[in-house]
Amino acid sequence: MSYEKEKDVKQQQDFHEKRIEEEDREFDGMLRINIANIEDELFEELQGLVGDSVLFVTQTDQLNLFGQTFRPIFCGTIIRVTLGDVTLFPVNIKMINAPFFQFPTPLSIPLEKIAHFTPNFDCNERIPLT
Amino acid sequence: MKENNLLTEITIPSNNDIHDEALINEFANGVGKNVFILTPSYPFVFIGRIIDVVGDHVVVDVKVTTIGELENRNWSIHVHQIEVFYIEEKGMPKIPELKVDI
Repeated sequence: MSYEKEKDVKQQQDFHEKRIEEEDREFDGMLRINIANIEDELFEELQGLVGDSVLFVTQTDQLNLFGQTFRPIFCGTIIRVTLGDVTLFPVNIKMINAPFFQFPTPLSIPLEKIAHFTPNFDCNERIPLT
Repeated sequence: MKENNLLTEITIPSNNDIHDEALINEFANGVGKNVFILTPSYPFVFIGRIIDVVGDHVVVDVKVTTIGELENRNWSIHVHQIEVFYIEEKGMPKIPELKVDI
């Protein structure tokens, strides 16, 4: 590290310390780190959708249920939302040769696996899956 | 260099971290219960009882999967690899006794 750079870093550190003394958790400039007000807007939005019929598509290209491959497209009524997952029941899996296949149990989808979703979707609607 | 006034805002922990951790908690709360798991990776389906959570892996005593040879053993499954799942709850439908007859 060149002397100039070292000086820069030192100045930044000094500056940073000064800022902390002022009880300010903000970096100057490029980066602001917020550790106080955690808001999970997705969680809140999904909670507002409890009871609604929602179409979810998850990340993977395809899933496999005992030899049947299908695209991960799930349509159902949200019955429960946690910070980690959303649970649908009844839930319909859009299989190519069985587009109205009703899964016998509820299904939970990890929030981090949701690729996209659309609320107020009529699960009886026919959609091309290819 | 020109003054850069673009601001990146970071929240710690991030929403992604919260979701990932909460998912592990879901499985930790489900220890002893039956679970149905779909993953995009082979062998795609796991059905059995949750025995333990180790780090971000869930240990399942797998009774049913797509491959007979892989049944009746403990599988350690990466929680964040799971695409869809159902942990059996009281008052909710039971996981059907799925058997492979191919």
